[in-house]
Amino acid sequence: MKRRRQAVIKGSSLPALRIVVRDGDAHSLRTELLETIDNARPLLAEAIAVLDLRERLASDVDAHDIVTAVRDAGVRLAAVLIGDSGQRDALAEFSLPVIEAPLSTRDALRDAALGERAAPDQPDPPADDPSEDTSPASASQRPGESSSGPGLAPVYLTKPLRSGQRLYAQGRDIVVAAPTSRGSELIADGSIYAFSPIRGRVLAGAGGDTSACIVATDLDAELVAVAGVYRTFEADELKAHGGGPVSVTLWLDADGNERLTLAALAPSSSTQRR
Amino acid sequence: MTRVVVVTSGKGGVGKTTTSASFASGLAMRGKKTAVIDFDIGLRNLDLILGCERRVVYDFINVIQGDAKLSQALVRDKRNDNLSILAASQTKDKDALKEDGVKAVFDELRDMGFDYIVCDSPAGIETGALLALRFADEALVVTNPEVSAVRDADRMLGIIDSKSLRAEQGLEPVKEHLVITRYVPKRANKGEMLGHADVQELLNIPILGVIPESEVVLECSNQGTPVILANGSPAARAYDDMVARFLGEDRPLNFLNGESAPFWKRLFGG
Repeated sequence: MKRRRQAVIKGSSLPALRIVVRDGDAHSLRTELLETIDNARPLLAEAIAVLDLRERLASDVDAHDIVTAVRDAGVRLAAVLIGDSGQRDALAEFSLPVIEAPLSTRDALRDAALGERAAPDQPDPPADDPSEDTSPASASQRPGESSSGPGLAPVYLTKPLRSGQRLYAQGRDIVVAAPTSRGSELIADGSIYAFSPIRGRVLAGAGGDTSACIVATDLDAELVAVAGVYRTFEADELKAHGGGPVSVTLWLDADGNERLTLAALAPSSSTQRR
Repeated sequence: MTRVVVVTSGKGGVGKTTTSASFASGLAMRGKKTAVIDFDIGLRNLDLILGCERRVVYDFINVIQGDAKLSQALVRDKRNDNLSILAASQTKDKDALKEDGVKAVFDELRDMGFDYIVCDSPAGIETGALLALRFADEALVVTNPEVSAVRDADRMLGIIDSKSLRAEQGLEPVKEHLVITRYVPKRANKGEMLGHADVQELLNIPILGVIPESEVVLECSNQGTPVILANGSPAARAYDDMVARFLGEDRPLNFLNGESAPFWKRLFGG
C-alpha cells in the first residue's frame, strides 16, 4: 500500500466573518463597534473573525485602538485586512497577520454607487410601503455585472446535502436540485438558485460579490447571507412569507448600510402587469 | 451473495439494537441465513436482547485478535437455526476494533454462506459506528419522530455517503432505508411529534418501517425475546412488515392511525 503523506500544504478558502470598520464619527465608533459585536456574539463565538479596515481612510481613531477595542470585547481575531500599507505600522505590536488586500473593483464600484445614493438630491426609494423592499433600488446597485465575463458552469447539487456537510462552489453559482438539511452549509462565491427545500445555512457571494443573490422555491434556512451580510431566522419565521418562492438580495439603504432583502417572488405578477 | 446491512442512527436510545434483533430474527424466520454482529464494544447489549447472554464464550474482538475461531464465537439462536449472533466484547478497549479485522470476519462469514450480515452500530460517529457502516451494502437508519434524532440520522446519512467503502470506491451507493420507531400516531396527528411524512421529507430516503410505541418493547428486552416474536402486538407486526418490505414485498404502512390500515387499503396497496 502506498504510504500517505502525513504533512501536506493545500490551498483553502475558509469562511470567515469580517468585522468591517468604516469612516465616521470618532466619538461614537467605539460604542457602535461594541454594539455590533454584541449582536453577533453567537456567530463570532464559533467562526473565524477578521478585522476589515479597508474602508477606512481617516485616521481619527487609530487602527491600534480599534484592534484593542475588538480584542477587549472578547473577539479572537485571526487577521487584519488593510487597504494600503499605511496602517501597517500601527498594527506592528500585535502578533496578528496583517493582510494587504485592496478593495476589489467591484467593491470600488459599489462605493461609487453608494456615493450616488448618499447624494442629497437623489430621490429616496418609494416610501409608501416600507416593508416591501424595492427592487429598482437593488437593480441600480448592480454595476459590476459585466466585468465578470464568461463564468464557470454552476455546481449542480443533485444529492441531499446532509447535516454536517458543506458544499462550497468557488467562483461559481450553485443550482440546488436536492434538499439541504438543517446543519448543512451551502456556500457559493456566486449566486444560489434552489428548486428544492433549503433548511441549512445558505451563503451567496462568499467572495464578497454584493450582486450575488439567493433565489429559492422553498426557503426554510437557518441563516442566509449575501457577501457576508447575514440574517438568521427563527422557526417558522420564513413560513410567514407565504412559503412561496423568495429572493434574497443586498441593497443599500439611504444611509449607505447594506441591507439584506427577502422578497416574495410572485410568478403571476409579470403576466398580470401586461 | 452476502449482503451487509448496517443498523445505525447517530443518536443513542432510538432503538438500533431492538431493531437489529427483530430485523435479523425476521430475516432468519424467512429462511435467510443471517449473522447479527454487535459493534458496540464495551457496552454489549445485543446478546441480552436476543436472550443468549449466558451462551457467549468468545466475542467479536476475540475473533479479530485471533484468540478464537469465528465458528467458536458465533452463538446459534435457540429459536431459529438460521440466526447466529456475534457478541461485542464487554471488557476490551474499543480501539481493538480494526478495519482489516472486521473485513476478515466478514469475508469468513461470506465463505460460510451467510445471506445477510446485520451490523448493530453503536451510537455516535466514532470508530465503532464508522466500522459498522464501512462495508455496508444497505443501511437501516433508525430515528424517533423527534427533531434531534432526525438531525443525527441526517448526519449519519451524510457519513454513509462519504465514509462507506461503496462511496469511497465510487460503487453503487449504499441503499438507505428509513425506520421510524416509538411512533405514536395520536400525538403525531395532534402535532406533538413529527409525523412520519415530515421525517421522511426531512431525510429524503424511503420509509422501510414505522414501528409504533409499545409497552411490549420493554417487556421483550427484559425477557431476551426479539420484539418481532411478540405475537399479535402492533410493534411485532410492524417489524414483520418491515422485514417483508426489505425482501421486496409490497405492504402498506400500518399503524399510522393507531390501527391497521383499512381492509380495502391493504387490498389495493393505497
